[in-house]
Amino acid sequence: MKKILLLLAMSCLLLTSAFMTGCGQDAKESAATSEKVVLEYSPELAAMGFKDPVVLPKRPECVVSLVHTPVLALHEMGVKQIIIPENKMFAWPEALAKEAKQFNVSMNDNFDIETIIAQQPDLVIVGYQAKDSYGKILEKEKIPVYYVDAGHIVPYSSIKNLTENLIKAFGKDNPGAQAIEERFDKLEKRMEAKRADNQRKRVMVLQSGPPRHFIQNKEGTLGNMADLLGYENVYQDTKAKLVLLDKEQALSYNPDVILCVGGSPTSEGHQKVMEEDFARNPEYWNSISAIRDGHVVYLPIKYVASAGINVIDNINELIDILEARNL
Amino acid sequence: MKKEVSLLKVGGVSLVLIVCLVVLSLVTLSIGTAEYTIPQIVDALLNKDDGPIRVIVLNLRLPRLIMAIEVGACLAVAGALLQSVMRNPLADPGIIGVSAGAVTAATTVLLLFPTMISLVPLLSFVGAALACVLIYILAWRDGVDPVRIILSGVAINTVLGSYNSFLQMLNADNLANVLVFLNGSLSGCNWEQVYVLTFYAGLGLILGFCCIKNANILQLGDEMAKSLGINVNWVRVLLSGVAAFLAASTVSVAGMIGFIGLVVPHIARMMVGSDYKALLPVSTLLGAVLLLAADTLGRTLIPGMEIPVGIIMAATGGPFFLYMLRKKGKVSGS
Repeated sequence: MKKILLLLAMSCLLLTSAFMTGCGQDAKESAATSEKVVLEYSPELAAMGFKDPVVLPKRPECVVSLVHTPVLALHEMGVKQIIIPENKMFAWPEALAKEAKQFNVSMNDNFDIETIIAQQPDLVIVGYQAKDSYGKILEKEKIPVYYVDAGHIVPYSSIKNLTENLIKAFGKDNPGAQAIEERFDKLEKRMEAKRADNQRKRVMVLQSGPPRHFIQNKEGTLGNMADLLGYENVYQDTKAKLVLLDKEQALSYNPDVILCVGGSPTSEGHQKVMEEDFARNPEYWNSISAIRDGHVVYLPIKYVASAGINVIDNINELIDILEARNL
Repeated sequence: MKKEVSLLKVGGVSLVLIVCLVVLSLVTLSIGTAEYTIPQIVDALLNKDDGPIRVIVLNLRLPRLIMAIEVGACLAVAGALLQSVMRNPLADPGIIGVSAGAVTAATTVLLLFPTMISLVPLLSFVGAALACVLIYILAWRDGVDPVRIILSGVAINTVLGSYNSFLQMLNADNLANVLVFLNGSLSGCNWEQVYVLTFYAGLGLILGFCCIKNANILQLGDEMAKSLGINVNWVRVLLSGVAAFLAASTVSVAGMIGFIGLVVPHIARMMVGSDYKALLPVSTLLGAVLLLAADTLGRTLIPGMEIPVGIIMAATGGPFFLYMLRKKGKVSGS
């Protein structure tokens, strides 16, 4: 009798455990389903053949970003990044710089792949250029890889589309995501107002390291910003975003404003360097009315290359400068 | 065997080159993306018109023209002298580390100290000189042997090249100016640069022409040269020093322009032979003509865009170099 009771009790215990485990499993599965993260591709990447979204079983806790574009947006949404790219244009936020290792990822195809794999990340974000090299290696190791637009010149629209996809994936009920969206909205309104004001004023966008000067078209980093603000770029050629300035042709451009970016960390530093160069050939440079009349805006190195949502701050600062100088 | 210098032949070739230089100069002044006719240009210059024609011709084309002539002449003479020192038809200013040293200094400033960009020419010159000195110190062992110079030059070029590549890799976002320096360009030159280069080029060319006798003697071989009372080691150092000075002066303002120092002396040899009394003056003129032609082509080929002169020289020098290889027996002019 005792044995039968003991057997019954054990059976009940076993059945109960099995039942509880099943519930737990279901609960986990439900939780997992609801935690699933879907990273879609922007139109720019879709046009390059990246159509299938990256689906993660849960919110990643160990992200490796090997391109600059998504870093700030992920940080502001509280997504933990353990590796980020080094930044020569400006400093990453202190908290981010403390918690993440910084890798040199020059030209988007020189990564320390071993360290990355050893970290066993939940997600690796790389430039689309690395799809057939590092992308393949990581995918072979069953590490989820999300490809983004990368390089020195990533236009505003591409940054915005990527950020929207990141917000869709990670930004539910996230104050950081809401703040980013608000910043974009405010900026769009300011840009719209500026476009109405400018009425196609002509702009020449220079990237200078005297004595050599390069001119950007509207697809260059700064050229794109000027275009968004309603300026008409004097350099219309679309073959290249950045070419050596033809100084003879420059005399025929007649820009209303010149935006000039260089390698100095400050705009004052770049202005000094440029004015020294102007002083070496005043007859030439004074023939350009915008220079003669002082309608030149000097900008520091952070305007040379794109680095994600800091483009919002950069464009806002640019608008502030232009409005202050009535240009 | 040393050929007698045919004064008539050399005079004829030199005259033709001078005429080519004058005609090319007039063409260079009159063509560009801003299209003006010669009468318009002459009118603007004579009437001291303040308009764009005068600005373009006097402040853009003319300094650039003078710079191209000086740079071409200096590089050609430097190459000719080095080919005598090394007794090697492949010798050019790049071998003795001038280019590598200048590029190292320029790259360091452009990428790491962008606010000191105005010092690039001076520091490039210093870098070129230091690299050259280092190569000769490393190559010195009871004298200077051409083969050791070349091997030391290759080693130093490789080391400096790796440093430059590493620096570029760390600063990949901001390479535009470095690339132009590496490809060699006369874009953006102004009268201030012309005055400086004229001083150095003038000094260097005078020194180069003073080395004609020694360059001829070195061609006879070390034993013969010693028997003529020449201190071969010091003459080699002297000629190399003059060549390095000439090359460093040009690289510091125009960046790396290849093939002029290599190819021009060979073309000159084909015209007038190996005697430096003829070879050096003809190389000077020919270098000036070729570089001026290449620069003019580079700035007019694609409207709205300039192709650095170094790229044009590489594109044209390469095929000529292959042609020379095919005509192996005539390379040295003998």
